[in-house]
Amino acid sequence: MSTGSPSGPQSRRAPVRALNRLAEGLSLLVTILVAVGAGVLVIFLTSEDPGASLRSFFLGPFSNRFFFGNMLQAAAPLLFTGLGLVIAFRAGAVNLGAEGQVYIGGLAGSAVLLYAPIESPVMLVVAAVAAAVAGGAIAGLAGWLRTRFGATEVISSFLIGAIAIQLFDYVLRTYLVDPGAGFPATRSFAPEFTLTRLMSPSSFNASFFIGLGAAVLVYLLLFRTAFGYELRMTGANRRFARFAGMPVKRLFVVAMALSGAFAGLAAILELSGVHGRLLTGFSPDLGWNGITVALIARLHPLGVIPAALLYGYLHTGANTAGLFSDVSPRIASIIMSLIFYLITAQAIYAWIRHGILERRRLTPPGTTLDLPTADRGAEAGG
Amino acid sequence: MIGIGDIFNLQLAYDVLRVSTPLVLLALGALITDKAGVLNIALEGLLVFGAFAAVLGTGLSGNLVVGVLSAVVASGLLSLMFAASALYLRGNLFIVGLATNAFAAAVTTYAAWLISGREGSLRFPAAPTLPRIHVPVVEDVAALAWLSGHTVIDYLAWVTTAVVAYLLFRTRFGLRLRAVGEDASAARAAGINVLRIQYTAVLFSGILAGLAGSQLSLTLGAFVQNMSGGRGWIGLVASIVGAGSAWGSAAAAVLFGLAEGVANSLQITAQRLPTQLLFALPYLLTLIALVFYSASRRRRGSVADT
Repeated sequence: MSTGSPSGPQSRRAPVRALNRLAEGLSLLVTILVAVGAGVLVIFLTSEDPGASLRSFFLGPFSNRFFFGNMLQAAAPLLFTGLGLVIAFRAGAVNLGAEGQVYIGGLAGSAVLLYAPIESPVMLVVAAVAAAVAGGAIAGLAGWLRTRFGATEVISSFLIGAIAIQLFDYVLRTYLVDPGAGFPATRSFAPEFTLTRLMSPSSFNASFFIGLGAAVLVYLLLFRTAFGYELRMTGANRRFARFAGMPVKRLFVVAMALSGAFAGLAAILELSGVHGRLLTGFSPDLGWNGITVALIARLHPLGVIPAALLYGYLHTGANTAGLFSDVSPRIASIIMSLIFYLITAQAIYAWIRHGILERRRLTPPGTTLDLPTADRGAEAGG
Repeated sequence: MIGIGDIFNLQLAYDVLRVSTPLVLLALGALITDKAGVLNIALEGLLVFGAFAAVLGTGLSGNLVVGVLSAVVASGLLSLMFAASALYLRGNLFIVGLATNAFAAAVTTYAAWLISGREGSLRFPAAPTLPRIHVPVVEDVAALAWLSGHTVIDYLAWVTTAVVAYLLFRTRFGLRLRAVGEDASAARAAGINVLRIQYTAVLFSGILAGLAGSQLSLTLGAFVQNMSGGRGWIGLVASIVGAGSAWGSAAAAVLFGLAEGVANSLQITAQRLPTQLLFALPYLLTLIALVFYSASRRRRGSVADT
C-alpha cells in the first residue's frame, strides 16, 4: 500500500498512521483475549460445572443493580491510581510504590476525618488534600532520591512503599483502632464524611464521577498546558528536554509526587465512599492494578476510563463467580497478571502490524507506548 | 533494660547465617542477571513460586529431595516465562518483572485454595522439614558452634557464592556474560549469542530463587502467603550494593540478614516491639544502603548525570 501512491509522502502518512493505530488496537485486543482465555481455561480445568461458572463470571456483573454498581465502583479508585501512573510513566518515572502511597494516603486522610473539629463535608476536602499530600510526599521522596543521589526510583519507590504499608498498619493498630470492631479497623466516619450511595444496594458513589472529571483534567494538563508538554518531553527525550532548558529534575520529582497524590486520592475516596472507616488491607492491590490500567490505557488519561472499567468487570465477574459457583475470586488476579505480562510486548504489535496488516517485514517502528527502558534503570541503579 | 550482649551473641550469629541464606542466593541470582544486562525485578515472584512448589512437592511425595527439585523446576520455568516475555515478546523488562511477581502471587494463592480450601497457606502435616546438619567437631567448640546445625541449603549458599565468583570471573562463559551486560551490540558483533546468554542467566537466577524458596518454606514446613517478605527486592539491592562481585553481593546480603536477625532477637527480648517495625527494618536498611551506594558512585563520577 505504500508503494503505488503517486501523491508523495504527505498523503502516505495518514494511512500508515491509521495502520499503526489499528495494529495497536488489535494487539491490545489480542492481549486481553489471551489473558481472559487463560482464565476461561483455568475455570474449565478446575470447576465442577464450567458452564455455570463461566456464565456467572461473564454475565454476573450485569445480572442486577448490586453487581453492576459494584463493577462501576471497583473501577473508581483505579481511575485515580491509573491516572497517577500515567503521569509518572509519561515523565519517564517508574513508580512501583503506589500500593504504599495508597495506604499512607488513606491513613492521613482518615486521621483528618476521625479527629475533625467540625462535622462538615468541607473536612472531606481537607482529608483529600491530606491524603494527596501524604501519598505525594513519599512518592516525591523516591523521585528526589533519584535526582539527588542517583538511587533508582524503580527500587526505592517500592522499598519506601513497603515501609509505608508497615507504618500504616502500626498506626492503625496502635493509635486509631476501635477495640469494638473485632478486627483492625477504626470507628466509622461521621455520616457527613461518607459519600452518598447512588445505586443502592451497591456501593456505587460519586467517586466514579470525580474520577471521570479527573481523567479529563489530567488530559488537559498533559496535552494542553506547557507544564504537560515539558513533563512529557522529560519522559520522551530527557536529553532534548534538558538542552531545551526544561527543569528535568524538578519535573521528574513533581511527576512522581503527582502520581503519589493520585494514589492518596484513590484511598480516601475508597474509604469514605465504600468502607466508611479505615481498615487493614483496604486496598485490593489498587497500586499494582493501577500500573496495569495505565498500560492498557496506552498511557493516555482518557484511555484510563475503559481500562479501569475492564478491571471493574473482571473483578466483579470473578466475585460473582466466587459467590455462585466453585471458582475462587482470585481468578481475576491471574487474568490481570497475564495482561500485565503481555501488555508491553512489542512483538505482538510488530506481528500484527507487519505480519498480518502489511504481510511483509519492515524495520519495526515500535509502539507509541514509550516506557522507560531497562538500560536507563540499570544505569541509574548501578 | 536490654543489654547489648542480649542481642549480639553467638545465637545471633547462628540466626543471621540462617536468615541470610535466601538473601545470598537471591543476590547471586540478581548479580548474574544484572551482569547479563537484565535487571531482575522478578526475583520476588520466583521466590514465591519456589516456596510453594517446595511444599507441594514435599507434601505429595513425602520426600524432601523431590520437594527441592520441584521448587527448582517451578522457579526455573517461571524465570523462562519472564525471560521470554522480555526477550522474545519484547515486553518492558520492569513490567514483565512485576507481572511475574503478580502471576506467582495469584497462581500460588489460587492453587493453595484448590488443594487445601484455604487461600492463605498450604501445609501437609505429615511432610518432613529440612533437617539440620550437625558438623561433628565444629559443634563441640563453643566459639564455632553457630556454624553447625544448618540445613544443606544454608551450606550450599556459600558453595554457590564461590561457584558464581569463579563462573563469572574465571571462565569463558563468565567473560561472555559480562560482555553481553557491558555492551550487547558489541558482544553480538563479536559472535556471542546474546539471547542464549541472557536466557541462561535468567534461568540460573530462577534456579537459585527456587533453592531460596525451598529454604524458606521447608524449614517452616508450610507455605504462607507473603512469606517472601520483599526478599527478592532486598536480594536485588544486595547485588547492586555488592559492587558487581559475588562475595560483595553475598556480604551485602548478610548485612541485610543481620538486620533481620537483630529485629528477630529484639522481638524476643523486647516483647513490646511492634512487629511492623520488624518487617519494616530490612526495607529501611536496604533503602539506606541503596541511596548511600548510589551517592558514592555518583561522587566517583562513574554514573552520568541523570
